[in-house]
Amino acid sequence: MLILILFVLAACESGSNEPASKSESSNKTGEEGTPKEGGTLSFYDFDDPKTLDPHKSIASATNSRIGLVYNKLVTFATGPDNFSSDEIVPDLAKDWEISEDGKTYTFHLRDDVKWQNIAPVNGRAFTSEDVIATMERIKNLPGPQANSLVSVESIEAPDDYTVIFNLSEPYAPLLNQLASFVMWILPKEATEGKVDLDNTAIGTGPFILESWKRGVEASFKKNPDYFEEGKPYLDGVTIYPNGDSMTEVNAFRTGQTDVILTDSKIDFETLKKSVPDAQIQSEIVTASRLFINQTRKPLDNILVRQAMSKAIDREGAWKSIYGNGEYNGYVMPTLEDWALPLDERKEYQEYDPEGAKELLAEAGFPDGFEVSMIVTDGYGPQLVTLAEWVAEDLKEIGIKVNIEVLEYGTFFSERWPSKEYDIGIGLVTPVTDPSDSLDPFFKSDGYRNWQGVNDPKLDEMIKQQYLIVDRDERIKYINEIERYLFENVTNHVNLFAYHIHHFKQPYVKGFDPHSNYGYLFMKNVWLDK
Amino acid sequence: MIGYIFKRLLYGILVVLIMVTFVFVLMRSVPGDVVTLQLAEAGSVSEEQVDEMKSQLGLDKSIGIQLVVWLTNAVQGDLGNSLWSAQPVVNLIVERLPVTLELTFFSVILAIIIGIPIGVLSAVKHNSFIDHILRVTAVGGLSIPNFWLGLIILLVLSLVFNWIPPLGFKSFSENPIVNFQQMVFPALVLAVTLSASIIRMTRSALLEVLHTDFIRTIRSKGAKERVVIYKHALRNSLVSVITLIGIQIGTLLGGTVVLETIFSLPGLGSLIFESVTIRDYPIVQASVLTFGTMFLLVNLVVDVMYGWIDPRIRNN
Repeated sequence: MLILILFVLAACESGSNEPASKSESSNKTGEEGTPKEGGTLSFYDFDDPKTLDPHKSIASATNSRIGLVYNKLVTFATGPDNFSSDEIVPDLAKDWEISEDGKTYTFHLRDDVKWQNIAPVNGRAFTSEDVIATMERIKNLPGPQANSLVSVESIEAPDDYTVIFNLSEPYAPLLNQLASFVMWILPKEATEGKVDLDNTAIGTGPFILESWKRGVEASFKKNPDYFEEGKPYLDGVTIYPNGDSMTEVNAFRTGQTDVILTDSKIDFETLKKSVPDAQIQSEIVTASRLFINQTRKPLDNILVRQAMSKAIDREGAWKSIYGNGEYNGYVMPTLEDWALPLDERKEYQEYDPEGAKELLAEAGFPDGFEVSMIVTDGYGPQLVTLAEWVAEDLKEIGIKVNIEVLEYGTFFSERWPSKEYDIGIGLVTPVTDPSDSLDPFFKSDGYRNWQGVNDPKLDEMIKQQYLIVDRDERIKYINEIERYLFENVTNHVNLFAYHIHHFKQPYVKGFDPHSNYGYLFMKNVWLDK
Repeated sequence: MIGYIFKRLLYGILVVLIMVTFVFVLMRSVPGDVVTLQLAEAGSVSEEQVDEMKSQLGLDKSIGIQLVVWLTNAVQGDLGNSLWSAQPVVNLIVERLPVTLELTFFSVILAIIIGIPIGVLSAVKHNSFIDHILRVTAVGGLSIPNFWLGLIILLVLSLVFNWIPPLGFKSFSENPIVNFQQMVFPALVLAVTLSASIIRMTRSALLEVLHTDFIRTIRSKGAKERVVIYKHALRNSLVSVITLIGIQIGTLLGGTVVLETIFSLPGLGSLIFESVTIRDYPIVQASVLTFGTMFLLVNLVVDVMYGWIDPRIRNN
């Protein structure tokens, strides 16, 4: 059984905080009574999707919309206190077997699933053909999904309701990655180009996409043919793309929206005062980091990078910018068991400006040096404030930082991937398997290794962990990789993980978020009014 | 007159052409490109993928060739497809433009309704206490940034009246009542600046006309003050007010970009804003073309209206 990260209720009025790993929610979940049917749930999401094609976007915007429409072979358990559960439960597959050697996965599919009754699929039965067609499409497109299938040699369908994955070698995260939001199962017709996947979605899920008007709203209605008896409870869901943060707060306050998400300290406090009876649930969803271009001097020197890490007052930063936070590791604390214990994370990242100066002197820079730092305001103002904070801290030990605030497109397409920077501040995407936090960023050929990490021993370790099928052993090994990263790589430098707060109107029940994108829990939501 | 309009049109087309070319080159020169953005969205970026996608989208050719291709298609009415959604850009413009037009139309009407009567009052009672108050208010209206006013209005609505305009935009034909609730406040905000300019312009133009000889003549013939002001003086001073409105519509269109974002209206302004961020070149291109054409047409209409209002221009 998992040790559950409990909900964290952030920020007393004074702004003082427990370093948050355990706390409680003001929402007494569990005893919510008998679900009532009907009603529409509406809320703002962080962004408008750029496309609805699941294989063209790993963004939460895309996946949160289509998550209501599609299903996966397997999925994660959701429920109260289950925000980052990695317990795998059936979805389109009702059960599965893994062979002794870890090289054959046999999935038995549900035989009572129908596609939504929209042309060209027209409500036909879901079969193993759809799974095979989806996996083929994934293999042939760019994107991280293909990486999950690297060790999958072949996929067969002996009959309509059985799918067998044959692997060339054991691959520990396979089930976990099949449960992740990048693995939605599409109808065969869609993979043949008969559905406009950029602009529509036809799935097997609890809701039907009624319309998506870019920049306005995505509206969903109940799927009457959904395979889980009696669900969903809601008649519909309306998701608005992010507006101005004040507009969002006002919409919630005046009861036009039923749920609101915020990571801002100010909005949190405003909402708490103005909607006192709202249910509040705070979760660690994302983290910030300082990435360093180690192909440039003197940043190639690990002593310099470690000095930078020691120079940063993380607690001070999270208290004043977000109101709350927690020491982060290379595997995020959202992955619970897989992350290094909090004490250890803290030990590696204690604020020690004197020690930092010593390290810098040892590296041959007793008087410091000058670097430029890139950051984008595309995620909101907080990240820029954080960049300023880090720059101040680095100045204390003699490193002069010139901040360049870039527009999102420039940051993300021009400067960062092409290593046109010295250091930069960015966010970490939450993942469901620890390998997804390691492989892309730290393997020398990782597709998101935009900081020039090149360490053969680390490459080998990252490859090795895929082969360890035993969970406990793999956890130990992943911990070792993390320690190695802290001690021998120190790039990126972790800043901290922080909370996102869900405010829910008092009548909203069963809204139990999960860290994986896609609102997997929406079929359980009901309105008590 | 026809010849005049024709000349103005030709001149306008040239201006639009220069503008469109400028934006074309500019969009492709700013750092950050759509291909890397799309690959980053999909989760991985590699050299081969970048090259492959560039050639798919026709972005591997030189800017000159791309521009010629775009212009050739545009002249034939084909503005291309969105690089992200693959939808024809024309459809997007047709979908978004009415919102911006409605907003602009609303705010011009509001500005006239507010501005002209106050301007007249201010001129008629010039140098009185009322005049001073009105003039200070007008300067205030000119100085208030409209995004700030927009935010304040939303705040007051929500705090005092516990109400905000309904979410989820509805067009006039879908639901006129909801549409009105969504449009009226941004239109009012946009109208504030314009009406302030109208007040000032009406006041000074009217004062000028009121001091001319012909007004004295009319007065001496015993015409009622109301007739003097509305039939003779105001009509003669309207030429400069209309010019002002024509010029200000450019600023007004610029203001829609911000206000559409604040009030979540899916107009052309917010479309440009979104498209620049994600480097959807064809959409930016087509939106700028539309904005430019609108500006050009408004100016043309203003020119024609001079003639209608002022027979002296018509007869020349």
